[in-house]
Amino acid sequence: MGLEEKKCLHPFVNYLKSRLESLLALVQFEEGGQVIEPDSFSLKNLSAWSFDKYNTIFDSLGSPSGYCNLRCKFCYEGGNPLPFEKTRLSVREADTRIRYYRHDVQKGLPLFKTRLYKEPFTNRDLLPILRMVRTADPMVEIPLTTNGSFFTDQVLEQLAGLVPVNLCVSLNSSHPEGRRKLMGDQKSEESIKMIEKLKSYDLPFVGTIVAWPELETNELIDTIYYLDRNLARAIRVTLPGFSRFFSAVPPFNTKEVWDKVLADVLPLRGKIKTPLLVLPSLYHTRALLPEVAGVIRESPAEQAEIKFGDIVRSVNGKSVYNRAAAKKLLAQEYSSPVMQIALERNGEIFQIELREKGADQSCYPYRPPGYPASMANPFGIILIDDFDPVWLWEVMKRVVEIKAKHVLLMTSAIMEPVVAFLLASVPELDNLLGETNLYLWVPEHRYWGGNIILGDLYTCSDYLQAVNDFQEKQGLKPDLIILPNSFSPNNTTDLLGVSYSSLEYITGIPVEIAGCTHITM
Amino acid sequence: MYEMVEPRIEAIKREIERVLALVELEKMGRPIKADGFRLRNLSNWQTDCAPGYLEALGPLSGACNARCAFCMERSIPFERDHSFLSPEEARTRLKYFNPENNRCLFPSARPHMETLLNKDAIRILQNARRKSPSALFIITTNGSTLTPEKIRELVSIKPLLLKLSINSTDWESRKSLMGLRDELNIAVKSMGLLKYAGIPFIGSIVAWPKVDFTELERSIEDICLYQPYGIRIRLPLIHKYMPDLPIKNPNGFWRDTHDFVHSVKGKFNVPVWVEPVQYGRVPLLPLVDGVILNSPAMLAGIMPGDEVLEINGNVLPTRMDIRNYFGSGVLDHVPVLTVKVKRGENHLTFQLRSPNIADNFTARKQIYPYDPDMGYPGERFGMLFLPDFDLNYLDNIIQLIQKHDARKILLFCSPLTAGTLERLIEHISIYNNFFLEKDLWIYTLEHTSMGGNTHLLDSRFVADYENAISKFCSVIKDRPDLILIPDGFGSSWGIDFLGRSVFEIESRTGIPVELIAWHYIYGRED
Repeated sequence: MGLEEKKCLHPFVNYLKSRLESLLALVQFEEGGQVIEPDSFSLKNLSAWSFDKYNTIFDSLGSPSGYCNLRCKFCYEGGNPLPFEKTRLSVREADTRIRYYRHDVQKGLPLFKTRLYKEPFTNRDLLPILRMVRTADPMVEIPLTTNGSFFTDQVLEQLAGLVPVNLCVSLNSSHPEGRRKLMGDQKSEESIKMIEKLKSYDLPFVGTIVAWPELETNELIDTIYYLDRNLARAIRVTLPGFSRFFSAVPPFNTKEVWDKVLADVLPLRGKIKTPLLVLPSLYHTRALLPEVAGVIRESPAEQAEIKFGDIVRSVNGKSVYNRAAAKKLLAQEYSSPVMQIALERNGEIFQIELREKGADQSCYPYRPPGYPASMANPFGIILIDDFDPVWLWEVMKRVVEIKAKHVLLMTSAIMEPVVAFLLASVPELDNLLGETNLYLWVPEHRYWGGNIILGDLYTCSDYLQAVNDFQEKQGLKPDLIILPNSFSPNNTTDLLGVSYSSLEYITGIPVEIAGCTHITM
Repeated sequence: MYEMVEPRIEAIKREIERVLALVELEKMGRPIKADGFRLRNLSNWQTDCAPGYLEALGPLSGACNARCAFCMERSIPFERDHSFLSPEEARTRLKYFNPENNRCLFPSARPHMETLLNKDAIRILQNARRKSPSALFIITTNGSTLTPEKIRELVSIKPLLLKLSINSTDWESRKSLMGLRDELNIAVKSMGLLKYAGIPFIGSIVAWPKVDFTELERSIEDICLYQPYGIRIRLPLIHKYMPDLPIKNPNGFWRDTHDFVHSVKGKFNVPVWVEPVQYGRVPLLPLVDGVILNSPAMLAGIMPGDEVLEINGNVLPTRMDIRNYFGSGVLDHVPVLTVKVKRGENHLTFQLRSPNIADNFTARKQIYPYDPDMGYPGERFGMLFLPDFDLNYLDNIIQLIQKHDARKILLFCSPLTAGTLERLIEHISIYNNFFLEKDLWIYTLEHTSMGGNTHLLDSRFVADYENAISKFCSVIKDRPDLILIPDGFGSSWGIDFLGRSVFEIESRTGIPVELIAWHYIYGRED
């Protein structure tokens, strides 16, 4: 850890670093009576530092690379003012991280420096590192998001030897010229061609497209069909976003562009077999309804002819009333060989039995050899991420516990209508609240600006402004503020490293953090 | 060892230890085993004050080669820094003394022990002398190293005054009292050599029961043979950690010793005084405490006990006024002093003329031990005024009381100073008026954790004050709203030898505590 490195450090390490810097401003160290100026430090007793929770050993490695070889026009990292480190994960660091990962408790070394997740294949040691991971854990699923420009037969062959590997390939355009223009990929012909080879290596993939306005409608549709032809597990089309750092003036009219993309893309859902998702889904999908967003090809769900738009009514006999509950129930059954499901289509209820084929049978792209059953999409059924009413219930119970009178609940543009709907339509919530006044508030995205509608990018300064805005408008001071934890990668600080407690300190109002659903982008 | 004098260094040390328990330092990828540290930007650490370069050095030695029966440092149950000042530290301390504002580096934790035991003492003192060509250097020594060679080296450090611990001129008696081997009786012999070298000295005797009054008087006589600048008789402090409680009735011993010295001092032609100077003396009144041998004052006929009325037309009503007047530098190049005194019922006027000696070695020798350029604090033209209570102390106290808007003030004070303070407040109307509407409790400690007769000191232990305060509050059934404690801890932070801060009292009782500048009993400068 170089002493000269600024910011982007894990708070604990940053603390040690700042303590050392303060000390070094006061003293010079001596070794054998001679002055010696240290230029870096390493942590002692690393096993004591294995305290951060990770889903898998692979997650505990952090991003393989902070570099990208392409220059996508839509890249949201354009103008990103946050301090990130431009490095690659070294074999040595990977080795240390793997060594100190504790499988029993799923804990590993913290990510000492913030390295953005960029193109993993720009790390020349990626494949050796993946082999180390595979040796340490033969079962772990390795997710890799890539622009696909590094794919060669040799690379794919090596990846095939490391399965299960879940690829997410940013194709964006299947027109070589279009991809070249949009992403700066000089070898776009080869990159596009390699998509066709993924099946021959039994490597399933999700294809992604950012629907940037420059992408012509026909090109967008061609790309979706290209991914469908090449058996993507799913196709994700992202509505284009930007922050104020990306461009001082909005590069396009968000509503116009988004609505056009939706008009172009949504009708294709009935025409192709591959699940087609447009993100953020809640922008165009009815919240709460447990509606199937698509089924993965060659999955038990496809074989049972479940279709996009079917509504899940029960799982193994247990009734389901909202999407989050349906997702949870399905996830519980992901590894069962058989599942009973009731679906509603055109007002009629169907009982369907889903049966998982054995792991020895290749079902590309659903479950090629060597892949476990999917917990995210059990039996091949895809449900979008949605607001979980249980969360609101928990928050309300907390509010009652604290005996607050005027509660300010921060939400986001995308979630606010859902929360408002639940509060208005679920009498139990109202009863629970009793005398307490609950105010929903959508803070303005002052820091990041742009066309963000999610809550993930709020900063503490945005929240502070929002408290002021609220007080100005309502003419009263809340006695409790609730922040959904989505803004904070660590449940404490925002992306700028400011702790939410600063909000409490400045306003003098207690602040509670509440866990909530993260919307996967 | 810096807990007392500069606790921030210990805090830094602990912080380093904490951080180094977690990280390993590296340079160019190689691990560093840091085993020490030094402070940067030492100019930021000039947190103390010293009157001159010598004082900025602090003690040169924390060790002593004698084992004096009366030594306060004996058997004390807390850690002391017994190191020597290194030439490197000395250079740094001299470098960071600023004579313009008297700022110097935080002090060391060394007690004042035998200076000349430091093998680099002469070199260090010479360096200080180069920085400060004319300031008087005062060195206390047991004389055991004062060989002719050493005295020749000391000449290069003049102007110099030695406080020479003789204690007894009887060879056997001195050896057993001081635990010194000194087979050659170097210390006693050195007195004659010092005269030859033109280095004045104060002969120092700690009164001790083993030396009876006959021997004490003989020792004073013997010292007088060598023309001392003065002779001080120190009344002993004893504490409970000393082996076999050496004096059963210290009060009686003090009184008897004082009375004896008082009865014989008139026989000698040099100033003979008792320390602590507060004991048994009329305070404040500007009485001449002594007349230096061969000085203009002696030649003019000034006598010890004369009450000074005016000096060169200035009315100086207290001893401290005279000391401050002497120290102000106004007399530095004045050739004649007109002194009006009261002797008995008579008013007398004397003309004191500075001898014209220039660089005439023989002329200087003739007026030994007097030296017109020496500038001993409290002495000019040979009239000696010993330290006394300074009215500034009281003015400072009033300011503190006003700052806290206090009405009920508890002031700790040695029994040796309390009377003076009470009389001042009683007799001087501005003080009297100020305290009229306030409760001022002057509290003298009766018991201290060190035991013996150390209660005569301003205690250096926080626990003593803490106990006294709780006792005081329970007796008067009230709480003071300001506590004033003499700043006698040897630490500007008010931290005692056991590492406790006097301001703990403030946080425990909720009563503000202030340290006050004070007339110490056996102050740090001794």
